Amino acid sequence: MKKKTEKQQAYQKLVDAHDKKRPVLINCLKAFWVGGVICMIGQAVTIFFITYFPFTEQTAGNPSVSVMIFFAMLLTGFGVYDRLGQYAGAGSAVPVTGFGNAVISAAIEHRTEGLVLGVGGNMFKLAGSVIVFGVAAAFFLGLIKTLLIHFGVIG
Amino acid sequence: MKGFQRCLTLLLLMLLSGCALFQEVGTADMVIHDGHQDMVTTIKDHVEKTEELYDTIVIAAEDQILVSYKVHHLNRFKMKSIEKKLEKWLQEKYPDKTVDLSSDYKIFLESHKLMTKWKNNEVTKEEAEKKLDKIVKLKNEMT
Repeated sequence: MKKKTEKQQAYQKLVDAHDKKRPVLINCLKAFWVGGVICMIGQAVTIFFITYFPFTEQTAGNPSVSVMIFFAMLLTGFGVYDRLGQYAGAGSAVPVTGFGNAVISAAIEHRTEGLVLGVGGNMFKLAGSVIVFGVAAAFFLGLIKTLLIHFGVIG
Repeated sequence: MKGFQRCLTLLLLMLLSGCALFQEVGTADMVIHDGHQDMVTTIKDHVEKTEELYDTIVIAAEDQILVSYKVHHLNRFKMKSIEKKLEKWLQEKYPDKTVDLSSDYKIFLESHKLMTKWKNNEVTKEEAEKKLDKIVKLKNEMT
């Protein structure tokens, strides 16, 4: 960071004196319990898939992730998820449900610009980076694992 | 808000429906092919002695054995090593049989269903063997 001039430092002091303190601990607790509840719902969906469909614990992960994203998309459309986001912050953004929220909220926001250039062009503005980095990371990790198995480092 | 409430009810329903999975049923076995009773009892005893496990089902067909078990929750971190240990023991003991081991809830659930049906004489031998094949196939599926 650039060094502040004397005037700026004095101003910063003034700001600090009048600024409200951020309730970090409370925010963390809120994020923790909301994120935990979301994950619990995800676990319930997984168990639902295991019980009623031919999925094992290994394979039930994929469909439950997509169902959770779908739930988040629905809730975003109903206008519930943004309230949840205001309350819980990262607790609602870090689980996969945040991905669905990012897609649909961008789609709703740019609806007025038209269906193709508005919705289609902006839908993945935020979520696109998730996909790109996810695919890239998966590619490189897969490459590393394949090489390690090939050379017999891991089983 | 109405949609939200409806969603919540649906989720709660799903949550409760999963409960059947967690009831303890104790160790049990099922022998499709005659003459395997000794082997199954030996396996059962060994698995019962392994402290980390509870609720075991051993199913034996002609040349195929399926052992499914549940691991105590705190021991789930060591699941891989437990499986390896058991597999080694089984392979040393019965080198000429195909033994499948699984700690998966789904495999346990299906085995339990098959066993209950078998005990109630609802399935024939062929059907049971077919079902066992299906379970093993499901177990080996990865994606």
